Amino acid sequence: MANTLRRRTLLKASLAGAGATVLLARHGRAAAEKPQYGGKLRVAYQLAPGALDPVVGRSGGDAYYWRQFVDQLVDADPALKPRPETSLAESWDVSDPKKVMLKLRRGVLFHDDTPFNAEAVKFNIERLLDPATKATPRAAFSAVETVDAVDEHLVRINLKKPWGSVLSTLADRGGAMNSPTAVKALGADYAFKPVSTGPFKIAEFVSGSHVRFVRNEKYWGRDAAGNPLPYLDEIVVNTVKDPTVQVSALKAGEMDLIYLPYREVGNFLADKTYNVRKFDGGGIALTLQYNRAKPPMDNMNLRLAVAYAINPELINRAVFFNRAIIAKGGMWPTGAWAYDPTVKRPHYDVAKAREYLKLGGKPNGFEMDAIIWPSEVNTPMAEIIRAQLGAIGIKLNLKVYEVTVATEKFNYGGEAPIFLTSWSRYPEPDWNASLIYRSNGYYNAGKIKDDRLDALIDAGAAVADIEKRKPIYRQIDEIVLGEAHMVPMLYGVTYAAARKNLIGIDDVFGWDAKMYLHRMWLKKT
Amino acid sequence: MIPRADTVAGRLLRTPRAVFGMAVILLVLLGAVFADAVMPHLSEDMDFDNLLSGPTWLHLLGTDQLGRDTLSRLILGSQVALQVSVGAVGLGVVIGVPLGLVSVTIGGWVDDAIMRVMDAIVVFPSLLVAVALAAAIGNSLGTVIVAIGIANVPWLARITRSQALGVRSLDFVAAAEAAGSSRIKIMLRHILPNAIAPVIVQATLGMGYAVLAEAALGFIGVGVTPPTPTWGNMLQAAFPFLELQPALSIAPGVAIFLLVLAFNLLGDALRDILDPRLRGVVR
Repeated sequence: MANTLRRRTLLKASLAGAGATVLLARHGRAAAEKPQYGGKLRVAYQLAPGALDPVVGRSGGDAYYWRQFVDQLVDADPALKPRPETSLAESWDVSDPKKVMLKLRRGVLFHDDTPFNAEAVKFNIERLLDPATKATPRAAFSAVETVDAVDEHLVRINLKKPWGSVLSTLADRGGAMNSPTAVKALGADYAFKPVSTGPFKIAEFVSGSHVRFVRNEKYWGRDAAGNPLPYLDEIVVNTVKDPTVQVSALKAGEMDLIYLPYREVGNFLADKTYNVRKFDGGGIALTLQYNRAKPPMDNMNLRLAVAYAINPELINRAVFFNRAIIAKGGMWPTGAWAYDPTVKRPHYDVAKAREYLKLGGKPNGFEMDAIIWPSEVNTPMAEIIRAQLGAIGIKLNLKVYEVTVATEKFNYGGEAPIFLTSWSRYPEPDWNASLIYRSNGYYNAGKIKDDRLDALIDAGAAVADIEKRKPIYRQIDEIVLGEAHMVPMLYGVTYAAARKNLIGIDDVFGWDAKMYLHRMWLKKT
Repeated sequence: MIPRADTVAGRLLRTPRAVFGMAVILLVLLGAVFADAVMPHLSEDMDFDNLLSGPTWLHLLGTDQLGRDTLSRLILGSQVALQVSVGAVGLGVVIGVPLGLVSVTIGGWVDDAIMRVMDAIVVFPSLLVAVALAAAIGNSLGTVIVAIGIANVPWLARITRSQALGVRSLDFVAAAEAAGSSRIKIMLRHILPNAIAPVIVQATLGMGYAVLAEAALGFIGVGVTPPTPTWGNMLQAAFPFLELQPALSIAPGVAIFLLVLAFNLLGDALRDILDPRLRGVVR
């Protein structure tokens, strides 16, 4: 026990240490240099885009591509706080529960010279609400009744019901603005030839290889000193599947910026050739997702037994080199306003696990299937979980499928009672609440009707005041974690590494911990 | 009991290459058979205080990412390596040799048909066949054996055929025919025993190839699935840590190297001993 405590303390100390490094680095750069224009930024990312149009893309990884050429109606800082100076709406009024007013920025053009105005916003939201578009974020806009273009630069969104999460929602896919002219002209082809207003525009898309973006010469944005944005001539986002290959490419000078695998973080922090930045809670590295309609996980006590039997600290040590964060709250991770580490939830305790096995009527354990998708971290993680559950008599049969197949088979195929998976960072709690916890949620595998949760989710989405929303999401956490619907075990920490001549890496992470390259520049050496 | 110098066994024991090969194979065989007794740790035991460790007294060949003992996993993995090599080559012999013999005894269009099918199999990349098979019938030891076995068939059939062709034209076969022996009897009693030596050589070499192929399949994630350790999936798991803990990659790499080398040296020595044209050549 003493040993365990010591390790926890060390872990905290090492994380605090890493945080301090970032602070120092930020400080050292305080005397801002004059940005240099030109150059090509080469980035590597693991997944190819599912689509380049943010509205129809379904993969979380799409954001690495579309973020670079879109502007959001409401942009947000890394804490998901709305940031009017980088948004397409200059100001807004969300105080009336029946409507949302947006005052638009003037003089903005889409890449195809279509003017950005209230009609364009109306077109975008109506396109998204049209079931035929199959827009990924459509459910998040269910509060919208109609959209009116009050005048050239004023939009009114009329609401069916209060929409508390409106600003966060407009900072995600649904708030990315697409050119009405291009959407109408291209039809289904638009998915890979999108046109927005952002600082870069798409020059070339080679499936499975790369997407090349070039500077939008007519971009409206200015930096703090009044210089026109963007600084770079070009960005190439390369699809490189293997993290090991990405690391070698960075070292060989073929890439300027990559995400670091956990195992490399130590080496890179020690190497003065690179800048390393991190984002705590950049994702959920491991979560237990249960299908509560499928035995034996229809039994709450057995679900809790599983959650108590898994020791995330050992997983963190072996798989994440102690750089992930032991989850103490729910599915809204560290840094999100709804994150609450004081909520009562399962923490590793073998004695409790055995107790719950007894309560669940299976004192000697049981056997069940678990779905996983293979990756450098998931595969060893699943091995450890299998061993830890094995120790209290729970025999886990691992079923391995590729990620999209695994997600489908678990959520719709009823293929297994438990899914060991990871999750993107969703700091706006209503997104996860609606998608996972609501009775008809896309990721609610058991589709079990739960009036308590549905009422709480509605209540949480109805108010805009964060202080009023917090206690509601705490109640949701208490139910979801206390009855083990979905139990996160480890929050991820996202690390990015770049060559020293890439300036602006302090702002590399957006609120979703994905790459945001609008204001980077390359220092000539 | 020392074999007489002029027997095959005697000549093998006087050939250093062959002795080395047989010694390595015997060692691996003993390890595989008595794995439970000789493994220093349980292959699934995770030692979280020694993750990715190099060789130490506690873990003679180090540990992997989950703190599992590399030596123990190598020993357990040798079972798979030997099962695959024996199984795949056995399958190749059982199918390939009769095909070669049938080709020769019947001849004509049957010969053409069999040999063209064999050509087709040879030109098709065998690893691709294995991947396709795994997708169709699932990942298992059997899949690997069948896939590699199929790749062995054409080589064994071709060698059997070419040898049998030569033997068939010899006088004693004509004599047996004249004496009224049936075709099957001639094939089995007269042709096969005189054509078998190169088949044995090819089979031995094929075992080395099978070990290598199993490792390649394991490396790309086809075949025997974790947690059962195989030398191939051990290499795959070690790959991301090539710089962090080289011992983890070196151990299965050396194991594969030694066993393949052993089969090749033994096969090579066998060829020299069994080939009448090389008999008596000073080396």
